Amino acid sequence: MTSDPDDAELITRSLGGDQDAFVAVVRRHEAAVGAYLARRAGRDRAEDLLGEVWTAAFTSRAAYDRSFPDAGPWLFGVAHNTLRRYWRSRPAEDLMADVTGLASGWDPWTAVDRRVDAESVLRHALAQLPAREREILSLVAWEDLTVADAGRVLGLPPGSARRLLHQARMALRNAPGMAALLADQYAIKEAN
Amino acid sequence: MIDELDLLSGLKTVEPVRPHAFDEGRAVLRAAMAAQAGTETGPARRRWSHWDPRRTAGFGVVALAAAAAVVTLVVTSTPAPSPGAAASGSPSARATPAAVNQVLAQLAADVKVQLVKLPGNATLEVRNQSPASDATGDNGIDLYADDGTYYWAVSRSQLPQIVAGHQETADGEFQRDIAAAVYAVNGNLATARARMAVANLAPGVPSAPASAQARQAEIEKLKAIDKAQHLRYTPPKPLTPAQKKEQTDSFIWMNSIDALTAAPGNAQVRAGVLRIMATMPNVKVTSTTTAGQPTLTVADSWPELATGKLVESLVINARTGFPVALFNRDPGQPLNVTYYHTSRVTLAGVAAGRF
Repeated sequence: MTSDPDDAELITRSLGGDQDAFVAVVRRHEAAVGAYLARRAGRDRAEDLLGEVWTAAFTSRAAYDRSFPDAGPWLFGVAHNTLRRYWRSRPAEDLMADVTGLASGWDPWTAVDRRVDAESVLRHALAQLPAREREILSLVAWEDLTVADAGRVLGLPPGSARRLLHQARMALRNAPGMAALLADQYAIKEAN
Repeated sequence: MIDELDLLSGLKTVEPVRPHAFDEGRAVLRAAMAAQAGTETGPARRRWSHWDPRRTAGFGVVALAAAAAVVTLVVTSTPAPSPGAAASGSPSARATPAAVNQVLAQLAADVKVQLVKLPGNATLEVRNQSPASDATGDNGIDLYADDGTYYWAVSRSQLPQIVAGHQETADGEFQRDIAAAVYAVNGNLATARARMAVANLAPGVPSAPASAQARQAEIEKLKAIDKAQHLRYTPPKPLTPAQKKEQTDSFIWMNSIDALTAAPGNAQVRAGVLRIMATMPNVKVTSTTTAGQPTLTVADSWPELATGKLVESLVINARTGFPVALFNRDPGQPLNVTYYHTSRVTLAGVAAGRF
């Protein structure tokens, strides 16, 4: 019985001319990368950018570190860079709108008025963080990456990634309104 | 204890990328690969944008092995002259071919009077690369309600949540496909073709500006690909009259297949689609056997494509017209294979996880 080849092996095959092998890698990760893009740029832009992400990944696949069997974090990194190029091409006012619109789309907070306030506080706190801190927080919280894999996305060694995450968590925790929000959410949980 | 990461997780939910976007993303990748390999396929990828990406699936060895499940027999049929089929009026009417495929026309007439009422109110459909297994694969799972609403989920387990939440995917496209097919059962064929050619377009949206926007979006994608390949972008050449005619023909073909796969349980839809397909100018019909059942393989082709002839084959049950499989091969690309596995269900049952 043979197991499915891992991403590293498929990328190796693609470097040998097997185009389907790279498409197989894309198929494996497209849902996750699509969600990553959608959380940061909205669904429509995410759909527009997907092809660019795959093309950029294919073009740079020779640089992939094949000691990592899972290409997911690498593809998040390519998506991250694609988004950065996209944002750089946008007017400054668009950048502000997109920061506050993080993870918008289906609004999970509309059911309870109290949650609308919580969302506002949280989004505002996120928007105040430096971009790298915001990114590592969202990679861990939204993309379910380990700290080490989030570091791969950002090009950081594991130790630096852990430090950055800790720093980001502290900054978020200490942002205006967050202490009250955490206490409030804790009280709600206890009441339930 | 709740911490800041827990709160952040609450913002995780996002409107999901639609399945067709994944197909389009891979199509862009394929085009970039072809460009890098030195096999320029510019016109092909432009043409590819006209194809419904939901119907692209599978490739390589698996696809070829699956294709072998269709056993070709010996009977073939091509359109025979039928002067009465032509009509006047719109450009689409002028494009109506003066020929009718007798095999499809006869099947349409037979199906039209099949009045068996199927159970349930929706069709569950799995598209995969196996003629025998209905296991879900890369294409996820489709649910077509009889009223034309459409739901898609990546897995069976996710589908109940999608249906219960009324998270429809198609924005009414399939209702229009179905309506055009039903009209085609007894209506004027030229009108039916004209309706089917635009059935994928939302009403109230002028088709010309929308098409211009779509073309611009495609151009931007092509520019991005060329830039990534360090190539100079070359604008596409305008279509020749013959290519324009084929383009309209391809719209009719793909929307007809959408109608068929969206409402296979509706005999009127099957009859209407078959009647339209019987008039397609390049259609050839071959009697085949697929996974043990008698089938017809209906092949349409677009020989005017600048980079090579494009062929797509729809396999249907020879007695009922039910869709069985779809094969297509883009010029220079491996064969794509999709098998349809359908069953009847109720929306309420699916929402409750009973299916």
